Amino acid sequence: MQVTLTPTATDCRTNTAFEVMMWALSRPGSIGTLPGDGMLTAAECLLDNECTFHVQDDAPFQKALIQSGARCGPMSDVDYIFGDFNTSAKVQTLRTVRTGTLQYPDNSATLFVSAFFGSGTHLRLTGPGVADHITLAVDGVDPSFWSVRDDIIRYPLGFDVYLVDGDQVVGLPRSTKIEVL
Amino acid sequence: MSLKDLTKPWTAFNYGFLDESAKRELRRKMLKAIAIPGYQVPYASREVPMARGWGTGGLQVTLTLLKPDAVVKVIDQGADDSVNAVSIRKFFNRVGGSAETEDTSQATIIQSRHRVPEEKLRADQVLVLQVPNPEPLRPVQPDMSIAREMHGDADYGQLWLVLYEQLVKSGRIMQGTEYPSLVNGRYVITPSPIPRWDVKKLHQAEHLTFLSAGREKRIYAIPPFTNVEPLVFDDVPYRVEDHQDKTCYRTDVTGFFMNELPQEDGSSLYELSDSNFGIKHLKNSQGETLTIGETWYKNGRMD
Repeated sequence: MQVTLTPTATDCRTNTAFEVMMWALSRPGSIGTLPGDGMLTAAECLLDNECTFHVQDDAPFQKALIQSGARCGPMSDVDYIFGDFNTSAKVQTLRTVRTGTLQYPDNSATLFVSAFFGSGTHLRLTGPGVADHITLAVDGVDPSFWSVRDDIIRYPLGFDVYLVDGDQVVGLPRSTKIEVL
Repeated sequence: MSLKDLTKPWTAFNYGFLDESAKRELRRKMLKAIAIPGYQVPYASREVPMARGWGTGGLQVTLTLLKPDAVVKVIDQGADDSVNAVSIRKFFNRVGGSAETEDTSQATIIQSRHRVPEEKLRADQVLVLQVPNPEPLRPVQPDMSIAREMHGDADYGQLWLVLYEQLVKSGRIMQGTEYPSLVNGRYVITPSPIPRWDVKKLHQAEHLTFLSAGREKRIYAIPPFTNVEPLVFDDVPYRVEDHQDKTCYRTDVTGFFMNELPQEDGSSLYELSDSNFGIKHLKNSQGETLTIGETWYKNGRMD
């Protein structure tokens, strides 16, 4: 019996969201557009009962994520962290996130940080995925975020960041060098 | 929350064959692979209707990427028309409704066994290489736990020793395929059994490359614009196969990677290994006007 498989609306959304995030991480600094609200759409295509996550001060969002089957945990233990880092106190909590081990650097956290693109701190990105260099203006993230990130990342150890502004997303893998202009 | 919210209507198969949990796992691992270029990310490698070792790693990556508007090209040693390539391509069409193509320039996803097409890949294309053995250290360290520590310590001295021994024994480096290459200055990878000719195409390329080993359950990636440097000694430059001056007997094209066809009288004929590239040249010589994209190698050289 020949069965035709047609994607459901969810299939289309998660596949597109993943593709956007894949290209965003492959080309740091380029802005991708997710099919729907940024954080939720991104979480939908990645999280399931094999994952742990942490949400900063957003109970409804946390409740939505629990429906994926993923478990909620403290920031130092989890795979995915969602939140804003707009004060230096919040940024300091980053020092506890998982950065992997030399044997398994992939065993590390991924951050989804809410931000605004187009104004604010100017960043100059270099590294894999960037042809020469690219500049990006980010607001809504405390400026100390970038120096703390730089402190924590001991490549290949580190964490990966997605900046999310509405449905727009920018990927910043640990391999990207960020210079604050 | 009710049970109904957590379930969905019954279907014979999930879109793209893999179930959602398998896809999500692969997505998470693929993103980590991009974030740490060249690092071998372990993944579950699910059952697919094909024997391990026949491209199941590449198959799972392509299935995860599949969309109804995807255009998939599958190559087997440069050829689009081998049984393995055709059956994989048909499978994608059946489980994903994706279009099939043999034309490199029309494809959005190119799954390949052991060749990179001669025409340059664009920024919107994904190359998925099937990998039989992802571990460059296996010839020198059969214990994979120790090999993992060596990767962690960037302890690649023994690979240099292998190359040095080949040089001393044979006067040249004998490594034909799986040439160990340093990615982003940190991890040495085996770029799957592509010939030395193709390794340079991965360096600072515009496309994204995934390398996936289904049997060995590892996946690694080379993002666009990433350094991929074959391990070479300062005084012994990297050499690709001597195919610069070989001419394809069917198309009269010179300066690309060739298949050698031994003849009864002891001589050899050569034909283009990239079959679609050859077909385009043949058709054009018969009066058609197919566009042949820019090639990586020009006059048998790549600078």
